[in-house]
Amino acid sequence: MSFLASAFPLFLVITLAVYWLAHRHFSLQNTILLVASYVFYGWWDWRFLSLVIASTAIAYGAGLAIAATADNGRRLAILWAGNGVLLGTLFFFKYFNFFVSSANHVLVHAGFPPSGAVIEIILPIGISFYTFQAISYLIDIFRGDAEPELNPINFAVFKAFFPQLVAGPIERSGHLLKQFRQKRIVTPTDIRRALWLLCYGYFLKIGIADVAAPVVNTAFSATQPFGWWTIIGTMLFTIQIYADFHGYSTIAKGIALLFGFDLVWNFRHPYFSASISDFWHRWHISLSSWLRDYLYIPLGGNRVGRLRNYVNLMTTMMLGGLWHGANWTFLAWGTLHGVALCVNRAVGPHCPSGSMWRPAYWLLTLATVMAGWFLFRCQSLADVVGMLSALGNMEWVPAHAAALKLLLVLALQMMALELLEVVRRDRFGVLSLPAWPAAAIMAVMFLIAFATTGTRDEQFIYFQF
Amino acid sequence: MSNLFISSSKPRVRILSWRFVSLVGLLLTLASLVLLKSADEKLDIALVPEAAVGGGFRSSYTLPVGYDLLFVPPTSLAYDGASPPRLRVADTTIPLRSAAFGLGGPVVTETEVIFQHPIEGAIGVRMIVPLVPRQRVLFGLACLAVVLVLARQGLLRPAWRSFLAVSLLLASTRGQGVALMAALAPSRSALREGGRALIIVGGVFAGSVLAYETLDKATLLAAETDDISTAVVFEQLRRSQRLGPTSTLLIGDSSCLMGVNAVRLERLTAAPVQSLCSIGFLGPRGYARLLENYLKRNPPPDRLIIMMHGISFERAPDWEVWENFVESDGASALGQRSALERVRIVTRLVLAPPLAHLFGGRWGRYFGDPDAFFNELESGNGTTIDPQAGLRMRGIEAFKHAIWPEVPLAAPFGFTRNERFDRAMSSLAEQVARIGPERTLLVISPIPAPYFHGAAVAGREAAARELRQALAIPESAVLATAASAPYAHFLENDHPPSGIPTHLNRWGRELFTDHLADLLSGRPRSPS
Repeated sequence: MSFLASAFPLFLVITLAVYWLAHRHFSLQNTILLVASYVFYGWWDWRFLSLVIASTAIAYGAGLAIAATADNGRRLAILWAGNGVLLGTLFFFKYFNFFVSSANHVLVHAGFPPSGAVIEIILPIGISFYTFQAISYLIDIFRGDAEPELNPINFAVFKAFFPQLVAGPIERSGHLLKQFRQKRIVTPTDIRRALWLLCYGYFLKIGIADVAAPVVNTAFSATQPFGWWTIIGTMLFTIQIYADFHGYSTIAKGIALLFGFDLVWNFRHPYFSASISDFWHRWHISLSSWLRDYLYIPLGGNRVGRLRNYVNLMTTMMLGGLWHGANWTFLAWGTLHGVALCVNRAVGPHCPSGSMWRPAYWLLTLATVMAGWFLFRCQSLADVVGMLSALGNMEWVPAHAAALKLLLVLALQMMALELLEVVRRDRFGVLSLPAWPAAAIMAVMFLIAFATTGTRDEQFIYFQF
Repeated sequence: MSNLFISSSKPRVRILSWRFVSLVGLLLTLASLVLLKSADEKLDIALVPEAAVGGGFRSSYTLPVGYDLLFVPPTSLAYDGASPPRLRVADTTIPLRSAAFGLGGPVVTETEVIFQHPIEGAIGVRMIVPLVPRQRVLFGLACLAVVLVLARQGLLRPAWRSFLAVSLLLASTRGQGVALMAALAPSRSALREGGRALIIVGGVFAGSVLAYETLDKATLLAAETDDISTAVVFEQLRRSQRLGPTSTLLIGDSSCLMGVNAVRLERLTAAPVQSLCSIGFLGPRGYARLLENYLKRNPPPDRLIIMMHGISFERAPDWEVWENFVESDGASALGQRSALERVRIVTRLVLAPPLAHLFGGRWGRYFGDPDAFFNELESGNGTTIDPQAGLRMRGIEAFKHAIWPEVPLAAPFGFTRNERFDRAMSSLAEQVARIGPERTLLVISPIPAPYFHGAAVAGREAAARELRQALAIPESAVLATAASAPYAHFLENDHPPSGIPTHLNRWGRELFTDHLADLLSGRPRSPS
């Protein structure tokens, strides 16, 4: 089920009502949430529910087993076994065909017959997210940073909590799991904030991302002949992907708040970054911090020599790219960011705020990020070549003016809302305004979303990851 | 205070108590059920081709549940056969799936309707179907159940009661989105912004319903159109009503619209040239209507050039909607709109004008949105290019010197006319008589050379003769334009049913315009 499915409001109202009916027994509430989460996931395809349950059982059992033994070797073996099964499942569903077809490609080029058959595999929604959540849980227990959860219901609902199940944020046990062990309190302020988050999230998705989507789809084609489409399409995709993913994360946070849970912020005004390293502290924070804590730092992080540090950065970002999917374009996107981070590390620290060079740093960072999004959005390397070759034809056609106008309007809307948060130093900046101006902003957002509902798309971009 | 809506000092406003609101919601819910039952489960639904959502053509049909669906296909599908072309759905049960939810907007769902045609076979068309009222009713009942259960448990605070009651009311009457927002605003502090926002939204909604009535049809249609055919006809209709006098006036189908460059022709002939060329679906009766509009405001042009492609000589019955389109000044395309749709159109006009939809595919890639297309058409004196091919070639000289692959001969083109076309020609003949036969010229559009051989040669001659007779114009009025042009001058695969490319590409268009200008200036030379 999607947050945009017609059944979702009914699902949410019923779940909320039943959940708060049991407000005196938080363990019963957890059971209600677990059932609701499985219904939410099974709505898409009930067969893949077994995958979520199996992943939960593996992580639960492995977590208990790691905690039950003091022998470090055995603990390590259990950790590897648990994570191996989790990653193996992820690999099979997400990367099997990619590696088989890539290997076949190489073999055919070398004059050998292809050796493996590509099989039809449906990618289960959210598999990358809940797999990474389970891996971090096991590593935290292994490191002694977290206690294993004994209650299987608590653990299962932590793994399957429906607001963040299919597209994150990737929650850690230290933040979310402990919330399932205590009574929830929802204050009027929480309700107010949740309402704002829902309004904001749906606006980002319907009023911005889904408005940009058809234009981006028009722009991104290997056979399209105009260079300006490559440029404007990339800029529009920069807005679309942020509005889409940030919209999802914001709706997820708002819904969780209605149930009395706090999810981490997944974004912190990433397009205001003045360096690429700053960008990664603000973009998809739950994934970037996961990669930092469970990949980059174990590889040695920046406590090693300069060259090794660069290798670590490149490895982390390339694997981060591949996390998004089995495609050379994702690998190229990760590589670009890896190189940019290495350059960032080589040339020195961030530009100090207030520096006259800050706009230049900001522009350079944004240009790098956009170049990355160009690679990210292309479906194949053939698309990349086709779109880049179109840069040889810079003919300006009427559609470019329409797309540019759209780009400016969407960018201004997003920037205005983000600037409000930055200036007021409050993620709920709109709510700190007097009631009528705040109401007017919400009303306009609602009306724009309403006026543009014709272009909506039920799916979020990050569902595919 | 027991209720957010009740002021203890003013008991008269108790009409807004949660019990009253719940009761109204319950009654409306029950009334909806009774209405549904009494209507014998006939649901009035709109089936709209997916590409036309938010604009373009839309027609309403009554779908009796459990029976076959007979559907007039979209105008973009051409059919022969009985009139009207009624297609039977292969599967009588339309699967509703992947329903979409818009904040307070019309709740719709997508479905694929399969049509079985005796000649063409099965065709799947993506449709947008408004969600059936039954589901809204069920939602209302679910909300009611929640209210009752919670109230019975004594768990509802007054504020919750009020808002769930409002939710029930809204669910039974309007979109789920508004109901959900109401249900999620259970505290006084949430009312601070949420309640006020709803008041503003309500005000805008009410104002929009009123504003819709005051807006003219042209503005409304322009706001909704995202289909290139509708945009072409609509804009040429508007131009026919506002154009000033011109020396040369072009009229015809899309082979004229996209096969002649009126600005270039104006420069080459040193006389003002305007075009009201549109699409073949409109046909001679539609062209006649455009000419009539033009002649209402202007004296007859010095020269009227009628340019048509042989493929439009066979008219399909469902093309009549296009004739109705121009004869009703576009009103037939607007159709019936629910209050929410009216609100959506007006809010889009006011709040989101730059967010207009782009046309689909390559049309969108070149023209962008309808406004940009209208500007392009205006600056081209009523002509434009077909952006589906030839865009990578930079400049006419490069085009002229390009080497193209050999194309094998295809089956000769038919130039077949039918009775429907001949009938429509009488309307055009009337307007030609008003302008003067001596001022009228007829051009039969060129076809790709591989299609012009054998029977096609005689067919073209016969068609020219019969059209001339139908229009009562002299033999010399048939311009000796090239009957064919190299295959590379055309677009590829722009007309899948027959396979023959009908539109010249941007450079073929320039060459044909030069050729036409030469003929008009009395300096004929080889088109190649």
